[in-house]
Amino acid sequence: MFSDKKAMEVEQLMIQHLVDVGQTLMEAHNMVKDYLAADKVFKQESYQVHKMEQKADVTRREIGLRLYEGAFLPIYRTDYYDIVDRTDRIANAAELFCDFLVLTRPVFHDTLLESITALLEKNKETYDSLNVFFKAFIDGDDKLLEYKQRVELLEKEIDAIQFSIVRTIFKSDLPKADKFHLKWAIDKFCRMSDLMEDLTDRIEVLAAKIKM
Amino acid sequence: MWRLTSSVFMGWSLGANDAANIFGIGVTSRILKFRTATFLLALFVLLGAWFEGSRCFETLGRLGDIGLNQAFIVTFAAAVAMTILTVLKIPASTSQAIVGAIIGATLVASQPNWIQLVTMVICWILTPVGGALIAWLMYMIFDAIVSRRRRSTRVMQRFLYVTMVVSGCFGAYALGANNVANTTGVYVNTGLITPETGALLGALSIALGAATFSRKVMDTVGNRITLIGPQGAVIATLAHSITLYIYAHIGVPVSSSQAIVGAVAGIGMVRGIRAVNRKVMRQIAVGWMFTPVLAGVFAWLGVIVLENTDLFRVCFHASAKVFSSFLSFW
Repeated sequence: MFSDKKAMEVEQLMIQHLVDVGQTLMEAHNMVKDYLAADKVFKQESYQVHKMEQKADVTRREIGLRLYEGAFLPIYRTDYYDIVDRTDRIANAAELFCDFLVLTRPVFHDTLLESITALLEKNKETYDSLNVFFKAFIDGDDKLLEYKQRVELLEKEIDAIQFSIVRTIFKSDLPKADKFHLKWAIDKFCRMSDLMEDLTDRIEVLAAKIKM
Repeated sequence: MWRLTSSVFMGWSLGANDAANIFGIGVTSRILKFRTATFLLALFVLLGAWFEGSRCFETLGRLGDIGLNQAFIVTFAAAVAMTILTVLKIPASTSQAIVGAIIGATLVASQPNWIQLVTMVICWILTPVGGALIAWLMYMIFDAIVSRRRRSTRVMQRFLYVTMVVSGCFGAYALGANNVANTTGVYVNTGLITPETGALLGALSIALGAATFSRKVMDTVGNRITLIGPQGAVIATLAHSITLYIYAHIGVPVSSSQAIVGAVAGIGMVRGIRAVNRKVMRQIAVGWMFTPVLAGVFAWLGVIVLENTDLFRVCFHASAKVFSSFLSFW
C-alpha cells in the first residue's frame, strides 16, 4: 500500500532546514550589528554563524538521504533536492559575508549605518516572508502567488537600498580601493535576498509541475 | 493439445509488450511494486477475458473458416511476425497480426469475410484517434475540476496512487476482454477448447509474459512520464483502457499500443506539446502496414506447405507426436 510517511518526514525536515538557515541568518545579523558597533564580540558570533551553517548542512544531507530512500515520486525528487540545495545557499551566503567581514574588515562610515540597518531589517523581513511562502507551498495553499509577490517586493526594496548605498559610497571622498571594498561587502550581503527570490521562483516552478 | 503452445507463445508476447501500457508508469514511478502490478494485471486480465472476452472470439471466428492444423499455423505465423517486427523495433499489434494470419490462411482455400475485415480495419484506424479524443476530453475535465485549485504534493501523490491503481485494473480488464481472443481465439472457434478454457489459458499466458519479460518495456514506456507528467500519464492510461473496453464491447480486437500512443498524443494536443514525434508516427505507420501483411504471408505460405507437401505432412505429424509424448511425459 502506498504511504506518504516518508514524504511527510522530508517536509518536516525541510521546515527544520529552513529554521536552521533562518538561525544562521539571525546569527549573521547579530554579528553585523556588533561589527558596526565596533563590539569585539563579533568574532565569537562569527563562530556561531559557522556552527548554525553546519547544522543546516547536516539537515540538508539528511533530506538528501530520505529522498534517496524513496520519499516523493522520482520525478519530483530532483526538484525537492534542488529546493533544499537553494535554501542551503542562503546560509552559505550568510557565512561567506561574515567571513568577508572578519577577514577583510571593511570600514563603514557613520553616514552608511542607517541604510545598512535598514538592509538588515529588510533582509529579516524577506526571510520571514519566504517562510510563509514555503509553508504555503507545503500545505498546498492557494495564496502561494500572493506570498511570492511579497518576497519579490521586499527584494526590490533591498535592491533600491543597495543602489542608494553604493551611490553614496562612490560619491564620497574615500580612496577607490575602499569604495570597491565596501561595494563588495554590500553586494555580498544583498546576495542573500537575491537567493531568497531565486528560491521562490524555483518553488513556483515545482508547484506548477505538481498542479499539472 | 500441443498446438496450444503457439497460443501460449502469442499470449506471452502480448503480456510482455502490453503490460507496460497499463502499469508501466505506475511501476517506473515506484507508486506500485512490479509484483503487485503483475498480480493485479493477471487477475483483471482473467476477469476481463472470462466475463467479456466472448465477443472478440466470435468476431475472429467470422473472419474465415480455419481448421485445427491451420489454427496452429495462424497463431504461430502471427507470433513469428510479431517477434520479427519486435526485433526490428517496429511497434506491432497482436490483433493485426492474428487477423492478417487468419486472412492469409483462409485465402488458400476460400474467401475470407471481407466485410468483417473492412469493419476491423476501420476500427484499427479509429483506435488511436479514439484514444486521442478520449484523452483530450478527460484532460480538459481533469483540468477544470482537479487542477482548479492548488494542492500539496502529498495530496496529489495520493490522488495519483488511487487513479493509477484504478485505471491500471480497468486497463487490465479491458485488455483481457479485448485481446485474449488474439491468443486462443482461433482454437476456441475450431472447438478444440471452450471459451472459458481459452480465456483462462490466454489470461495466464499474458500474465506469464508480464511477469517474465515486461520489466524492461515498462522502463521504456515509463519515460513518457517526463513528457506529459504523472497526471497526464494516468489520464493516458485511463483513456487507453476506455478505448480498449469500447472495442471489446463492439467485439473487435484492437491494438493496446496504438490506443496508448493516441492517448499520449491527445494529451500533447491539450498541452501544446508534440508528445509523439514523427519517428514514432512513422514506425507506427510501418507497423500498421507490415504486421498484418507479414503475418498473412507467413500463414498463407504455412498452410500451402502444410496442405501440398507430403514430406512436410509426414514431418509435421512425426514432430507433433514427439512433442505430444514429451508433453505427456512432463
